[in-house]
Amino acid sequence: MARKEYSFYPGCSSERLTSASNYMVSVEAMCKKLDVQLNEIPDWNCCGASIGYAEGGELPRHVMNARNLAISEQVNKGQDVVATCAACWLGARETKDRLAHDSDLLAETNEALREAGMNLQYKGEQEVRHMVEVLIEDLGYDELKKPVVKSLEGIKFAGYVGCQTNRPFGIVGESFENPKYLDKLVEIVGGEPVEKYDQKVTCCGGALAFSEPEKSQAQIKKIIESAYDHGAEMIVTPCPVCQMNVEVYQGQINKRYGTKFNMPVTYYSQLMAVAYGGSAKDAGLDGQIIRARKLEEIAAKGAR
Amino acid sequence: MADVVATHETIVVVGGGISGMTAAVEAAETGKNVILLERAPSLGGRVSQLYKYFPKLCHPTCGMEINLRRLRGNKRIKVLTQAEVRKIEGHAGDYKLSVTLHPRYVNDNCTACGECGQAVSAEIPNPFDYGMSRMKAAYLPSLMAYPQRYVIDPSILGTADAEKAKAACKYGAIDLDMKPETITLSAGAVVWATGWRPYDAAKIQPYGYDRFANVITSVEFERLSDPRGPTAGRIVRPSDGKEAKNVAFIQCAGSRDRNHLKHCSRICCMASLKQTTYMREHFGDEAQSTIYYIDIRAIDRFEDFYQKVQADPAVRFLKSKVANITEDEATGDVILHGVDTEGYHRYDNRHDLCVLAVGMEPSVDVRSIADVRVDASGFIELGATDGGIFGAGCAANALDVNRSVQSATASVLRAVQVVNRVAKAEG
Repeated sequence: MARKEYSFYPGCSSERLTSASNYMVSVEAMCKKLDVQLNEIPDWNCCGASIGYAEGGELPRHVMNARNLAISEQVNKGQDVVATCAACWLGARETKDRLAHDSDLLAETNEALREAGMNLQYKGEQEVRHMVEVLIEDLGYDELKKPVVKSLEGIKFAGYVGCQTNRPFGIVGESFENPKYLDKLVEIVGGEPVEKYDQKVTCCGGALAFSEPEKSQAQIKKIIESAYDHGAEMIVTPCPVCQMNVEVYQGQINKRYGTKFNMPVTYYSQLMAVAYGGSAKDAGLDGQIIRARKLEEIAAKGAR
Repeated sequence: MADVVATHETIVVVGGGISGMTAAVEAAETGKNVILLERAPSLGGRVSQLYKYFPKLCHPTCGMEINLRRLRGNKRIKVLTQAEVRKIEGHAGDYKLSVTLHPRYVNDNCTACGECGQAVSAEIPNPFDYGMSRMKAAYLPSLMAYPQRYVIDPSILGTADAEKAKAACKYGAIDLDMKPETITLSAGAVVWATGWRPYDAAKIQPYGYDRFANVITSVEFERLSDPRGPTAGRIVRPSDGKEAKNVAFIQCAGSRDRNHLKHCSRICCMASLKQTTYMREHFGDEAQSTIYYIDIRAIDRFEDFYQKVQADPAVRFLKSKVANITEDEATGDVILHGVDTEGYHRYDNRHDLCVLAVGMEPSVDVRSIADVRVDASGFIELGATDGGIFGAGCAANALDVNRSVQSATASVLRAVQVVNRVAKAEG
């Protein structure tokens, strides 16, 4: 049996052939080395993400999250629910909070679940956690360091936290304006964090990247520019939306602003997968649009 | 501590700041026996750390001097410093206070000659300057310290420094074997005057007090302006020592805010208005002060002061709750971002230095010590549960110096009434 088991769902962005499928690949490699088992919630559904807030309505949004949680309660008894996606985590965690404090909403939610005819009832038995929380709180930095076989020495990373793992819940003990957990994770794998990265909690624009590209790209420009200004070679993030927005629009931003951005944007789990001895493929580095060559080189060294 | 005699008719005053000193003197001058307890090694409290008082802009040393003279001249007052009240039990007319006396490692042979400070090499942050300066680990808490006796910081115990200090003392005043002791005091009534502490500015995260050297608090600015302070009165930036001629003052920093203190701390508007006068005093027409405010609360006679500051062209008022502060790394300047609500203009204003007018919170959580009622902010409500413990000064409310003193006198009157009742009953 694995050291730790969690009830898990990857969310839409981490499914096969989607934008963050490489995130999932790296998480799997990382968890294998850490002896952590993720038990997927069968037939999980969308968390509602941004659309849920914009047009979806309150009850449907909570019903969708409650459905995932209710299935988890039935199938993966006694396990915490873990999401790797920042939006999934935020949505599910908000639902848990709201239903715990609003008995009317809870009753309506369960009624909706009954109507769906699945014999489901949400009880609120399981905690909802982000993968980062699990790593830091359940395993701890010392344990995370143990499987490291390769140092990411010589690479400077800007730890870009974004908003969803940061507000309103945040990681326990971290400052909202200057969270340091990504910097610590970078240190564990031998990399060098940008100590005074001043854009670490700047919004990447989220879904506005589609509807208001100018505004979103102005945000993204600041995030990347500051990383360059501080000598970073790569950006590292815990969020699939942040990763996508900051990586894929660099070409458009270069056109719009005459910049020459070409900075890889990686996930913390990719760093760990490489440091734990995984190949570039194990770490999902083949899923980058802007290739993280330095990581690839380290992964290739003595790859098993 | 056999020389401390306390009875049912004693009034114990807890806290030796301006409120506690006032209470002790007032009570003793009505003929009551008073024990004044102070947690720090010296009386004086936060007022002694101010450069000037508002609205008259006179120096606190003056008021402290008068209070100390009244206090020293009154045989009915017994002062115990480094004394921390752990528990108060009993009822009106018959309280028992459990008090821990922390060791000073210096006895009353001390003449404050300063030889021990010369001998010691270890340095510690100076709390009198809110840590903005360092001092020797054998120190006099401040120039106005009462008692005028040195203190050995426990951090050097067991080191060569402690022995050096002891060897340097010509009067046999240093006793490194002193131990903490716990005593029990009787009291008929207690005046609780433990004062306030500045709200922890690091908690107001968007303002970056924990990240940006040139974001400081109003109490720190007070020390910067004081000729006896860490910069000898030069208003300069912590980051590079450059003169801070363009200063932003942010009002309600941590006050009137659901995320922080819900109450209005009352003193901060006047404190910032006062501090703009320090700017003019230092830099003349080159001074630039900008006050970011929700509304200015200069009540009663303070309105005159407010109008005078408004008339000063070196002071600008900007009606806005600042959203966040960023730092220009190249220059160390701070940039304030927000919206000017008079016209709804967005701004990104650059300043040399930003002063957070931080709010007041009670310095001690009294509920764990005594059975008293406190309000939502932790200030003692008028009238204790059983009527013998009275809040005074900033333990009872967010008050300026003047109102703290009035509050102290009012509490003493109530304490005297309790003690008189006891005396009558005991015949």
